[in-house]
Amino acid sequence: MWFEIKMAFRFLISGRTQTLLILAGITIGVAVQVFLGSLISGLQADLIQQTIGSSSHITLRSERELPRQISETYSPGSRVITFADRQEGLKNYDLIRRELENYSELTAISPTITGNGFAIRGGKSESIVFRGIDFSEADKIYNISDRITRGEATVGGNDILMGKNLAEELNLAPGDTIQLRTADDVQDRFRVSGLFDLGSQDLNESWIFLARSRAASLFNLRNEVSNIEVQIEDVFAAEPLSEQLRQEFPEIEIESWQQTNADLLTALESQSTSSLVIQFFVIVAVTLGIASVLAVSVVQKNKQIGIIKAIGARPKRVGRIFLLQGGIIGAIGAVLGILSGLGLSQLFVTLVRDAAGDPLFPIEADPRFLAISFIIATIAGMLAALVPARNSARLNTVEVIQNG
Amino acid sequence: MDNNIIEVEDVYKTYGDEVETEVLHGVSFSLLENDFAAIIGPSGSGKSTLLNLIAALDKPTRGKVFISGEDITQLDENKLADLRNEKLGFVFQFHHLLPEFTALENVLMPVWISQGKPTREDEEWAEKLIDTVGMTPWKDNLSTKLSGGQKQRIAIARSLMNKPGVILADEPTGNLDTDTSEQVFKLLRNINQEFGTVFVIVTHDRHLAGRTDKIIEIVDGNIVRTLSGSKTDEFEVWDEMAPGYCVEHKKKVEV
Repeated sequence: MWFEIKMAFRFLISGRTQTLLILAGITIGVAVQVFLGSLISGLQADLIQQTIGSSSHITLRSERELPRQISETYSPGSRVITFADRQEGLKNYDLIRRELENYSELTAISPTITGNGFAIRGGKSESIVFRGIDFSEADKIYNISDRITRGEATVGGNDILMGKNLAEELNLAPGDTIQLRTADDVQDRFRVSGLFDLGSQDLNESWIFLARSRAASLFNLRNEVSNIEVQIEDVFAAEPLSEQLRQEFPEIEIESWQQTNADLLTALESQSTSSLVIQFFVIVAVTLGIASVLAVSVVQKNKQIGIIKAIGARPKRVGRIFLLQGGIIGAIGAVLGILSGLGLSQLFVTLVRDAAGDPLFPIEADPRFLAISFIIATIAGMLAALVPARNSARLNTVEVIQNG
Repeated sequence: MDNNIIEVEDVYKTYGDEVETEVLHGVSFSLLENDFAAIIGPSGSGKSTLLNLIAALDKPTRGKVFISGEDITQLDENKLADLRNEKLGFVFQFHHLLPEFTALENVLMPVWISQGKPTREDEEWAEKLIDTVGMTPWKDNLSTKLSGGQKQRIAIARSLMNKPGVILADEPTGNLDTDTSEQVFKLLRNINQEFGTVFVIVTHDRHLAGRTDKIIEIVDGNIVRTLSGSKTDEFEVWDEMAPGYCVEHKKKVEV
């Protein structure tokens, strides 16, 4: 191999202009590929983070539903009772939690009591969602303490936290008291200790965090919760892990964020696919470029090929010289391309900012993606060299030698 | 027979697929150790074709070619390449050095091919060869920076690198002026005497051929004369230098 490597390098160095041309081609191609890939994956990571970064990745709730009486009307000879289904609570949640704690990939386990109701102040009444939580557990999922816009992050007793839009609507500030009523007409007064911004209009307009014990008495639940919310390290492991949990708790309904956000995932997938198609054609174009320049270089090196074959280089080894040239130039171009691609991404992050002057989203350069780009470019270089290499191996020595 | 380094046995060579042209019509000859031979003949006589067959660059249509007792017409492409690398040396008319490499690197090239990175001994041997051809001051020049005669000397040094038993030279002085031709010819002669290497020199220069030990004259694909031995008589030498058909006419006149 020493001979082939030596020849390949020397041929590349002596054909300076061509080498630089091919190198520029690969560099640009790989740079575009890396930039595009990083951009898309950064965008997607950001979207996913926004969607599920602060929410439950896997939710466990009871499979059974209980009828709940909504109304009862009497008329002569009949009585009509209207029922709605209500999710039954998880009774043995402490047991389930202890089981869940055996899974090391879980980063947060938060049993939650949820329920609907109204917040009433003055003449106004807003529909709300009660979230009865244990603050330290829920904080790991919702990052509440970092997202308090006003007041303090205390939950307990009569202290509650409220979405900032809801507070605005009701004209509330931290320290104010508010009347809350459940759908079952149980009501009580609470003190707003802080306002939060969870980054979603929907939640900011309706959510209220209160202590789980308080919610339990409000909803008249004993030793049960509505669901258990779970967060995990690698968000994409949620679905397989859910499957595993379904085996272990067949009587519990277990939903992963992928099921809840199927639409988003479909959108992301088609985005990835179109990005891959673009990357593929960029590489094809680059490969064709290398192939044509190398084909010319084989013709130019006819004489040299004839000589080394005459003095005993086997045809295969001559072909290998050109394959190596393709590979070497592909590898060097890939490194330069990856560096320029990363530079381009950095430039994008620096230049393209939102109104507040923050980057739109972080660009992710996944080392695995970079390694794959490198390997693809190197292989593309060798593929491009395949035909020229075969031509060089087939070259008729006698003709070259005799025609000077 | 046992000492035959090169043996060509009833060799035919035909070119072309649709229009077949027979270039060699059953040629046979043999060369012994230490032979310093010339193949002469006019353009198109088939002398270069014959050399290419001995050089294992081409295969005969019929007949056999033996190098050191081995029938090379039976070898595959790879074995032929190895044979050219180990047992044969080449000096071409257009000197054929690789322009990307220095003189020394060109001389080392046969070793690169056979074993890869050269050893210290290989490099010493290459430098000795460069010294033998008188090129030491220019050994690190790129081959494009050498004159025609200098390139040919380097090509000769390269042909000796793997210590081959046979050196095949196709018009080695064809591109050189008279003085340089003389120096190159002397160099080949010295190498023949010093290393015992068999030389086969294809040339149309009859003066040059006249100074070899053995002359194979080929006309229209047939060997018309094979001359060997030392020449004493000046007229005899001239006869040998004259083309075969002249000698034929001279005989007719004398008769």
